[in-house]
Amino acid sequence: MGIAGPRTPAVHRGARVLDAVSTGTARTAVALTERLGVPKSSLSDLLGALEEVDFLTRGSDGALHVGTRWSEFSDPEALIPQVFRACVTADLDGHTVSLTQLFGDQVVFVDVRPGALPLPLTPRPGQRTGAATSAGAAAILSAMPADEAAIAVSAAAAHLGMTDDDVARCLALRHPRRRKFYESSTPMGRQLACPVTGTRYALVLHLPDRWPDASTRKAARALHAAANDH
Amino acid sequence: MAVPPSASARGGRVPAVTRAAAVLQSISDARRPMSLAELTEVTGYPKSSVMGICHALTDELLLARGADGTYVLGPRVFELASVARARRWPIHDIGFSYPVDESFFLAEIGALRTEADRLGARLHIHTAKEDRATQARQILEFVDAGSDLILIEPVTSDGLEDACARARAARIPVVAIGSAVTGADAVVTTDNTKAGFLAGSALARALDGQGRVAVVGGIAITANSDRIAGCQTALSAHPGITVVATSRGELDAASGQRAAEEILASEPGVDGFFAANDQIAMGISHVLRTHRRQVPIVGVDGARNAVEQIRAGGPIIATATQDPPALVREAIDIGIALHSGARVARPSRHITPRLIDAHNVAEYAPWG
Repeated sequence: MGIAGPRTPAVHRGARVLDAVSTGTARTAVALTERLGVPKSSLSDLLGALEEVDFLTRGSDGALHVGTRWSEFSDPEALIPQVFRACVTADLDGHTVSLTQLFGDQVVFVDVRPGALPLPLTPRPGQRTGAATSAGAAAILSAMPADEAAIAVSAAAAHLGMTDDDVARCLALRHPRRRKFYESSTPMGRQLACPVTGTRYALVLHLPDRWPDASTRKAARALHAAANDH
Repeated sequence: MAVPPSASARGGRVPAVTRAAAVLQSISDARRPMSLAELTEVTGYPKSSVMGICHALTDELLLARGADGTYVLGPRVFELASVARARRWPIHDIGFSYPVDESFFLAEIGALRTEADRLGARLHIHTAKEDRATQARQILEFVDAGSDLILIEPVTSDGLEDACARARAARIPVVAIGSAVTGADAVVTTDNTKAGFLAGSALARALDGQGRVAVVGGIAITANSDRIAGCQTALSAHPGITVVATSRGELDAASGQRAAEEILASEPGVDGFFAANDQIAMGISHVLRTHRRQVPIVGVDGARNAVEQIRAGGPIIATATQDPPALVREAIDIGIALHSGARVARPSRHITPRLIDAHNVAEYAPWG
């Protein structure tokens, strides 16, 4: 993508800098100048501004890194490290685990701890998927009282252009009786999900299509423990 | 809701970046889709500016615009957050198991407290009392308690494999400090071979290349074997020097006293001592003074009490330094990297010792 933007070029330039730094293709002012073709002085101001708002930070060696402000935007209570930390168990070793939140009749993967086992599709942070095919949506909705679930789904209805029927269909995913975990089989693969205690997140285990039942049961128990004991 | 930015924040070096941050913060705080009008009101910026920022952020997938024209955080925010989180995987709890309450380990604990304060981490410190089974159990306890990082001053070179494997399965890095141990993910030590060589060379110089020498090792860990090997290499360059006695101490002066008494009983004419650590050297020194013997001793550590003897003219005449704070800092750096899932290019690091003797003791600041 070229550096352009008719009205706010600095935002686009900043995005290019973040692309380069987050992928590790350029982490110093010199490397960024070469890569982006931005004059040194402009880049210096831009880097200063990005550091001021914590979009970028410098390591002790002077190298640039993505700043902590982004994690504050997406996870203001800083729950994700705690929950993923609780997933560090032998029974979840190698598995992809994600943390999802409900958004209307969709779920958003807030973050993903990638595993080593092959999945039909790999979830990515920020990706959205339909609630109907997500075990996470059922887990989140079922953990809420009915009226709270209705408010949660409706909050994004206008943004997503959902009809009343869409809202009703989404709310139908809610199980009146809470379960230990919720399961779905989707184009992304098989999912097991547990609501994360005290939050509106669901912790989702992404399983390969064919995976031994005994290992799955162990992983499900570990997932449930992590969602409750984080 | 977001607090409108301060006057200084409104300016900034590149105002569009400051304003973009304010828009993203407002939407994050609201936790629901926000309209342009709401964003204009909350940020306090002109509507045309907020609109331009929102368009640019949407183009960059940092915002997502809905069917009703409202904005939410875009997928790129979550991607960048994930990248930032992966780098700054916080360390909340550090477990440290060490052999015994001896000054070197206490100096390490002091350095560890400083590092823990810097990281905002809690420390869980236990002495293994020189017992392998106790140290293995302590590692398992750190695992069960969900520690983020385990540091050990090993009491053994082997026998902790199962405990380390449990830690590895739980993705908790184990970093050995001071001596290598099978099963640890990384090790930070003094270059012990060089330390032994420096001390052995100093002893050879003190004896003018002639004499009968006793070597007192420490507990059975790689660090002590390396020091003795280094010392023997240095002494072997002097055919006039013979190692007439070897013994083993532990980590304290009492063990040095025992070793010295035994050696003097069997080899009363010994001309010099090499001690694997300074506390053993202190014990030997005590015995030699009691026997009114003027025999040079060299050790390894750079500890305060040994350095005071060097300043006073002996019997300890030289010590090769260890640097407890540097060992701890290095171990923490490696531990943080391993904890975040990064690969560490050099999982075995050696800190170079220096020899402290009468020539440079005045400028050396000992630990302990």
